[in-house]
Amino acid sequence: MNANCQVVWNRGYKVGDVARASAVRLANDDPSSYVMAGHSGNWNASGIVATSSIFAMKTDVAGNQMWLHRYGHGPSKHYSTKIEMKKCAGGYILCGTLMYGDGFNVADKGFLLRIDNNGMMMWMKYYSMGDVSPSVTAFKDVEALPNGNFVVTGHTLSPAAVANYETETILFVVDGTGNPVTGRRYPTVLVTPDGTEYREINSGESLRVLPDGIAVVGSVLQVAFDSRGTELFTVDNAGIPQWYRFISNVLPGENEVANGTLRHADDGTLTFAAKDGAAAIVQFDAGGTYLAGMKYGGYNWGHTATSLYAEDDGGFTFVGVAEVFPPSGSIFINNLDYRVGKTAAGTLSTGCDEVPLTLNVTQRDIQAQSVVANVEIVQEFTDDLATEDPLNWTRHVICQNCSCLPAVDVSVVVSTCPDCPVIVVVDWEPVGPGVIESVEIRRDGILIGQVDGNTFTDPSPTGVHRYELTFNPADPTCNPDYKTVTVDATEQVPLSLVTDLILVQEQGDLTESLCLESNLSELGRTPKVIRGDEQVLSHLNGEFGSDRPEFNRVAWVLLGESPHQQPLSQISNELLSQFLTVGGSLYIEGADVGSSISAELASLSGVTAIDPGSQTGQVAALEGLDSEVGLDLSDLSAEYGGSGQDVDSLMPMGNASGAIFRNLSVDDQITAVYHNNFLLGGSHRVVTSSTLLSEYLGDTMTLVDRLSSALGHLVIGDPPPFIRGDGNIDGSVDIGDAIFALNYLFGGLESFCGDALDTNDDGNIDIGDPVALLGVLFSGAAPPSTPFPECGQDPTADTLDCEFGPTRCP
Amino acid sequence: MRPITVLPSTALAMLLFCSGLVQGQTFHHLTGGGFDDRPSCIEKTIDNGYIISGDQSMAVNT
Repeated sequence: MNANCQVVWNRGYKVGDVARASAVRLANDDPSSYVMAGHSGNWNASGIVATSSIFAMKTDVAGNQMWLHRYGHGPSKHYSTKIEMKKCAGGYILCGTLMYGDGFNVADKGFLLRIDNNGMMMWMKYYSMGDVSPSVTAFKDVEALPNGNFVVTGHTLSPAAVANYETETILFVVDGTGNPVTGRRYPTVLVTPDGTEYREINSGESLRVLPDGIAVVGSVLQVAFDSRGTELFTVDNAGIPQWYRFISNVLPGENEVANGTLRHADDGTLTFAAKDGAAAIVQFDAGGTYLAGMKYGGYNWGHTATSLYAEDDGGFTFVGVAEVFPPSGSIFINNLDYRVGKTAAGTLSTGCDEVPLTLNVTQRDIQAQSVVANVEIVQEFTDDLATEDPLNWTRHVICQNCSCLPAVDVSVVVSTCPDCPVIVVVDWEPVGPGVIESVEIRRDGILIGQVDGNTFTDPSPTGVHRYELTFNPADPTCNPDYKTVTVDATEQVPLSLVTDLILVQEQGDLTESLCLESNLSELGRTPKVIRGDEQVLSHLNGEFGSDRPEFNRVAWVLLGESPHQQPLSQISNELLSQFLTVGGSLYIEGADVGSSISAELASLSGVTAIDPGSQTGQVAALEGLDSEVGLDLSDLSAEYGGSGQDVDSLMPMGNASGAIFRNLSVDDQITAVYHNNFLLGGSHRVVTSSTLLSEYLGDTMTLVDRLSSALGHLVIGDPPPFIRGDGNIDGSVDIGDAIFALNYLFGGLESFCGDALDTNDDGNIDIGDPVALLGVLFSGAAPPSTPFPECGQDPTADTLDCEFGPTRCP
Repeated sequence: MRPITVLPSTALAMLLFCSGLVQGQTFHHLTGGGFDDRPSCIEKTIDNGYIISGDQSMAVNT
């Protein structure tokens, strides 16, 4: 543990005669200060708590009081020890229970308390629910909804209860001023194998607002069997249950002051602090599948976890109650202490004194039922001041792993200049406490250096590479800590010499292009990786490959695998369609490829997506097929390494298309199609695939060779036909061609067929050509020379040509 | 020996724990005093430490 990993300060505050804090938050208006909430009480002459209230207190960063207020106090009032407080716009929302009963929850009422950033009471209200008497209502957790309302969980008495402790979990929504909006209760029933039904006793303990609903974790008592457990369920925004799980024995953060036990991560996982005869953490995925659980410390009836913080790295830091047995003279006495643990990134493991949980999880169907609430306004509010008691605490380290690394910033510079080699300089700099003593550097998985400083220079990095930095690799006390960066250090080859453009989406993973780029290079081609519309626009033009007449140009478009796939932009769709019409070839892959390309591009690709975007399960292996239109992969069947989820089923369209890969896991699911438009008298070829080259586990080199041979082989034939004047090569001569010619001459537009632009057939493209064309169209001038108005070859020798082969001749 | 009488005298406690932690660190500690100390809530502070609320109950062992 580093020098800073110590208790910085601890302070005890007394509010009234008796007080308990059950929530603490970073202050809304200054996150370096803290706001704490709980309940407090004062004794009468007999030492009995005669009056009780809710308090909130703000301290500065060192724990010095800034303000303290009490709310809802009064004779005979008695509040629950579990008070929750969450931040909301301009202040805080608190909830808890006003306990009128004496242990059987008789006539308990939930309360909500809204305070501003200075602790001033905006409103406080009691709520009693249901149409039964006495009306038992308890509030355990509250959170702000995106629309400014608040949602509460807890419990209310079942309408069918025969005893006043038979409660049901609730979700209750109020508006920003505490007026009821909706109320739902969620009764559950245990059905035994012989069909007997037993009503259960439930109480929501904690909730989280999800992007599309609410998740609740609660406690369950199966009173007929004196058995206890946990419920975890989600509802949609209308309060309708989506799924419900009962977990036997494990209890959610079972402690009377436990707070905020349920956490929700961006990936949908739900994690809660729990009790299983020990402090525990339990984790489910977004669909209610149990993922993992861990309990900490040995068995004791008093052990529980009470709260946890979800770290950005997927780990958790938790607190819980631990029963310890310190010596007192010749005997040991019982004593509760804090258990504080921090787990490793992405795990539930602290590294010691812990056991994984095996849980019995049952799926159930539940239904929501409406419940209404009566409301009382509360006005009691007063300032106060806490007194302080010293806390003389000790710390017992069970285990720790704290000689680890600081946060590190990594930066990369790719140095290029004409006629000098490309070099990559990787720098790293700690941005937190801790020391970096040595770093191992791997390029594409191969160790290429170990340095003690904070910089490394790779003198021969040509290409796109993935650099992995391992910090302090020899430190046995430290979890290995890695940083990876992907660097495009491709040599600046002139575009006219490039034969293949590999397009990776703007946010795509460049590493997916590594293997393809390497294979194409080994095949004697000159690939270049580009990303984003801007580079597509600047590369997919007439200069591309113009000095490599021995190769046909190929665009390789890598859209990625679900769920990381990004659709092709409109401009890329248009540019690729145009590229095909002038004889370019296209390879395009993506799990959802069918929904990612335009109708025009799909039509040019000779493929139909039968099942775009639907989940078809795993793709374990691919069967190679003979397309029978010029590409045979029947000897290239192999296993597939991707997840295979949401892979489109593709169907060859027309006589010039054929399947080349089939998913062996799903009957008749074609995942790749080859389209040879030459068979239709056209000029382009396309491979469309919903599985990825980077996940093909067979002989990738042979596969790329086969694909590039089919797509990149130059077909030598007669000079390309065209219509003189048809500058935009759309198959007709009209005003659009004159505009195209003017844009070519003065607007920087690229042309793929100079012969067509040369309307007056003088061997040059200049202003005379659009003028001549306008004369033909509107002034009755003589028609252009051959070929016009039909497609044909240029009978006159000049330096102009159609660069990409046949045009769209009718 | 278990405490069989809990005096109704409790104080709430607040604890700032382990500031300056960095990614990759793990720990598992027990901390407290001679009374029953029960944590209720943990939050991360802006300097990568933790603030913990809880209470301390006095007890009489008989």
